[in-house]
Amino acid sequence: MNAFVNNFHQINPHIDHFLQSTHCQKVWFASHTDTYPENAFLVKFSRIIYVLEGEYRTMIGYQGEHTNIVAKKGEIIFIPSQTWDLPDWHTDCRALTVLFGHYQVGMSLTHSTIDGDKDGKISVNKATINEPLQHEGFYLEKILNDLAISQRPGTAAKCVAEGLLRYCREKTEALIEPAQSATHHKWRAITLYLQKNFGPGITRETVALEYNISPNHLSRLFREEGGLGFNEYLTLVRIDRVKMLLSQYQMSMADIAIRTGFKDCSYLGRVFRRHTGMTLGEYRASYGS
Amino acid sequence: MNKALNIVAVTACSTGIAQTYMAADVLEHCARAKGHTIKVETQGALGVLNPITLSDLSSADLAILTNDVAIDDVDRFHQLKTITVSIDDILTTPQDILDGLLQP
Repeated sequence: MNAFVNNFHQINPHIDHFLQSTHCQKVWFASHTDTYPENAFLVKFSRIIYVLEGEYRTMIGYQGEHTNIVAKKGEIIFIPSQTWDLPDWHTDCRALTVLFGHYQVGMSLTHSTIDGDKDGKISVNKATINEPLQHEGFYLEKILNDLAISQRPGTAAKCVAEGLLRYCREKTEALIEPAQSATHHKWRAITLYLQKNFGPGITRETVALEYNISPNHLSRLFREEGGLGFNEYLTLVRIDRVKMLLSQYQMSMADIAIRTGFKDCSYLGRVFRRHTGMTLGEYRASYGS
Repeated sequence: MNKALNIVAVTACSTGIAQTYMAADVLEHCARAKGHTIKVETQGALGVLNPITLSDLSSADLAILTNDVAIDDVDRFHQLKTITVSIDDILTTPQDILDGLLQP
């Protein structure tokens, strides 16, 4: 039924040319604003735009204000989930937008040209990687989100954004390679399961039972496929959720601990500090809205 | 006299970046607010998500399809009463579209 055509053969040469010839120049971070324009693009997943050629004109929330920006070749715009942008296609530009969905990574290569016509002209190639960000890709996107929240992007942002593009480019190659092993699929399915089920009561044993394998087999699967133990992975998922709750909700620390599967607030505090070097309060003070 | 409808829909926009997904959210929200059931398939850069199945089609009263770019596998809907709208219409005046469904 799915005749959706993946245009990697159209998109990849442009990515390769960009990665070989250009170093990322600057990363713009779109920020949340209380209001946004009526036609703004606002979705539940984060997006990143790489300007491959020409100039990309758009409006974003930038340092809290609605701001028209012109991103030149080599510049990058990161738009966290639930943050908006409003591109103006009346410009000569080739840009690659990468969408980080929950279960897929999408690519849209847009080529717009200035044109007398009111609507301009735009040609598009789309392609989908049918798995979410994993391994280094997963962490690189997290870093960009953290940088976006902190609004203190340094030069590191450029390297991270470039790394993320390289990661995605490699993934497109993997799609042409033979299918990945059954164990890898199983590991992937379990990590997806954990990203939704991380609350109290989730343990190595319950997850092993859910997937009908032994707890030891589960541990081996994580070590071999993910390079990260089961408990370490689960803790990362939980800490990640804690960060989100701390920065975006006014929930009490005790509630957060319960919801994210930590046995109490003081235990959460110790684990959080070990992972982030900050206390819960410090994190909320720095990143809270 | 309101009739609860069983709706299937497909959204797709030219760039596949955002409007496809925003329109799906809007349709779901507005249709449910009116007591209809709805399932929206998105055809954007993330591929085909939430695909409309044969059993969805067999229980559907009508289909809403966007016409900004060609919809993949549009033949599926030939047996159904179909309303064709633009993404912009969905995003700006979704209530009008849903109100229009009950007109003869």
